[in-house]
Amino acid sequence: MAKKERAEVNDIDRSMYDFRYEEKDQDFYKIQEGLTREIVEEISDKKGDPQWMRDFRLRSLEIYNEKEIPQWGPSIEGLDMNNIVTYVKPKTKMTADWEEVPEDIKNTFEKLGIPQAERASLAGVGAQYDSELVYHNLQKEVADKGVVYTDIESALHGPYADMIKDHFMHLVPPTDHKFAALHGAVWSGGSFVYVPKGVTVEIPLQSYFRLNAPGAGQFEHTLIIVDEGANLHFIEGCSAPKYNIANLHAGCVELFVGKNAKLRYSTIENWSKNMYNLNTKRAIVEEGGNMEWVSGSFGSHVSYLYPMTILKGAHSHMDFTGVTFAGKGQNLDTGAKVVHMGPDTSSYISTRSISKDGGASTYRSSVVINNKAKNAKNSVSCQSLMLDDISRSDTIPAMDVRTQQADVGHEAKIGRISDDAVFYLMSRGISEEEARALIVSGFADSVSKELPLEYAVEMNNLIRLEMVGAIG
Amino acid sequence: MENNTLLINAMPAPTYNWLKMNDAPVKVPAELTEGNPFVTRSSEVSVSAAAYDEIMDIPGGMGYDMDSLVQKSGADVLKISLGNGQKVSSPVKIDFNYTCDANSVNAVYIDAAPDSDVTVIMDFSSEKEANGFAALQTKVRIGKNAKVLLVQIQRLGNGFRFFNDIASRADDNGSFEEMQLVLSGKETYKGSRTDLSGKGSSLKTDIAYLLKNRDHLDMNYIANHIGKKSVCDIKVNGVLRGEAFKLFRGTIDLRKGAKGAVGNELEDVLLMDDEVINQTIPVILCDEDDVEGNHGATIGSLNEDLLFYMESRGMNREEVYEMMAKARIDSVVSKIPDEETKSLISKYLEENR
Repeated sequence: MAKKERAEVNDIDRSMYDFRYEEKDQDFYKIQEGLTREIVEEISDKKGDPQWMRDFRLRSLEIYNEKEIPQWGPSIEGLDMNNIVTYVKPKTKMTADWEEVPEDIKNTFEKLGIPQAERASLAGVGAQYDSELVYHNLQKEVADKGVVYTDIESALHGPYADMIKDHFMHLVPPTDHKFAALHGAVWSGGSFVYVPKGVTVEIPLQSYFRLNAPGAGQFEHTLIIVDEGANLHFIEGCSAPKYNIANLHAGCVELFVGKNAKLRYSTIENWSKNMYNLNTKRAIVEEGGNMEWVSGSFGSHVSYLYPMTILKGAHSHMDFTGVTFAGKGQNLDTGAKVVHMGPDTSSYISTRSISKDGGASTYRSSVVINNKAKNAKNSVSCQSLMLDDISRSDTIPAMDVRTQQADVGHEAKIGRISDDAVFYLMSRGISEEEARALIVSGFADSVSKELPLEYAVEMNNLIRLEMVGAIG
Repeated sequence: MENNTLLINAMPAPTYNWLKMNDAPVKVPAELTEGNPFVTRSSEVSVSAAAYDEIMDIPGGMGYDMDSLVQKSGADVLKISLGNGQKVSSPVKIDFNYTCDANSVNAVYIDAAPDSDVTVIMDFSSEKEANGFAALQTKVRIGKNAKVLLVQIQRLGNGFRFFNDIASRADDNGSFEEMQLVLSGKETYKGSRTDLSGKGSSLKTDIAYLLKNRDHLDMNYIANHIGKKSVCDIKVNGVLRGEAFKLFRGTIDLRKGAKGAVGNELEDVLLMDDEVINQTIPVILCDEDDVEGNHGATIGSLNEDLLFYMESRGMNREEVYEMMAKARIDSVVSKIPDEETKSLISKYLEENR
């Protein structure tokens, strides 16, 4: 009898993200490795923080030193803060003209397709290289509507300084967890967006974060305020070349969705496999507001990523669509959190996880329905696909319901490709290899169809699942 | 009275600490005495006293602290032994009738040899207003092709605190079925861990609970799929009233090598008052690709369409809710293969409406 051979699914092709330019010392300022009060003060000096921000950083550092490392998730033993460079600044100023961006950095973003995407389909772009933004631009007609899209540092010193002070890390306080505190101490870069009342931004804004320096951390802060009745689609992309030493990403995203406003936040995260991705994202939604998350997690060595939504206002709504692909050497712990506070709020969470080649994926979530959230509705659907017997897939969903007037439904499924489905497709004249490839592609389709076209293409490139091998 | 603090019902895979679902720190009386259950059985069933050492190798669902509590109490283990191929037609009944202010501990061991078949029915009762504390641990060894059905009825006083832990291990094609009804008691902690070690071994769990006032129910159920083609089916049905609190942790662990295993878990919670708290954390851990794990949960009040339908047939809302609550309990009661026990439950529910 012929030996039975397992159908194989290839790993994600990361070559398009793994290119790198060697950083020359004369082109970059790097702070000393580690995390001390002196380092935090030096970052604050370099960035010209106002006094309140300097104090905030130092208070965050104290909280960081007091907080324990979480014990419930994947191991982050390989991350030693003493070896992480928390601030790397390219010796260039932020510009709104790609021609003024240093050649190597510009080439990096061109290879990633950012300027091309800006020309084709974006209303504004921010590009961060290591710790600072090197490019930021917003179409004039969008700016004329009163939309603000800039780096946080500029906003801290401009007419929106008070707005930043009133919102910065109010939604994700440094006391939230150890890496939120770390972010509060050493944050640098990121974007500030303000969409005024009633304004609809027709085409998306995008920030792209590239971490190029080996052994460095990236701690960008994204703060978006979508005022009453406004509408925005914001896209976040991130990548890094692979090194043999640990890199760290501990960004923070705070989203404020006003009354009857709508925000869609799409992310394709494709960090390199030496990255510890300990990112925190949170949104608060006022009455009648609508928050949509679309999240693709493909890269990093270890990820802790659970975007959280607080449905504060009556009739506010949240949709979360996520896909996670964990390959060799990856342990991706992802999911979503939602807290229903207002009456008649609703949320829907749909996720897909794929594990292969020894990768581990965990779907982790929490749904909390408070007592005042009368008539709250929540539905969760999480599906996991195991592509071989050396991988791992877990689902850990929690529900906490504190009112009778709620309707909560949850379904989870873990398994491999159904033999029945393969048989059905084969009976229609499709080969077994093609059938399996079709099923795996279709599995992630619920996410890719939610992405803008160019991102759907990128995602499909990322999940280029080639099925090979004789099947006996 | 002096107390000890135990950490029980820890989840095999914990999650966010702020949810406070990962485990339960609880106080128990430092001094416990062995309870004196009344056993009814046919003469063919062997009942004897055993040492705890004999069951040390089967860990309980409530965790190490519970194992340690029972072991250190020095209580004899009530051992029910079934010989090879022994099939017992009438159920073995064990009545735990606790006195008010009891501080009681017991251990039961069901040793079912290959091809044996037995039903064990346990009834936990006390006076309606009784206070007190009781801890029970039941360990079950299920031999090849053996079948054990364990039925537990909880009818404890309004001030009673109860620890009820089950541990079982099933060999090839061994079948373990547990049916549990929680009808009263102030504070209940339940654990169950089943190691489906043998090929084709199976676990079927049916739980129904009825909580009211400030009743507190904390559960930790674990099904470890170790053997190939092992199957588990966990169903939890409950009703929360008043300011009742319930936490259900359910873990299906599909371990490497358990090819062809299938684990299913389903929870349905009916919330009948606005101050209740329901927490649910259904976990599937999967280290093997040729398996299937499913979980579903529905939590909330009754569907408006159903209410409308029933109201159009002349029932008022309260009657509909009462009927649906009773249906959840009946779904388990109807499966109990003993008419006397069914009558006992019906009478109890009637008297305590």
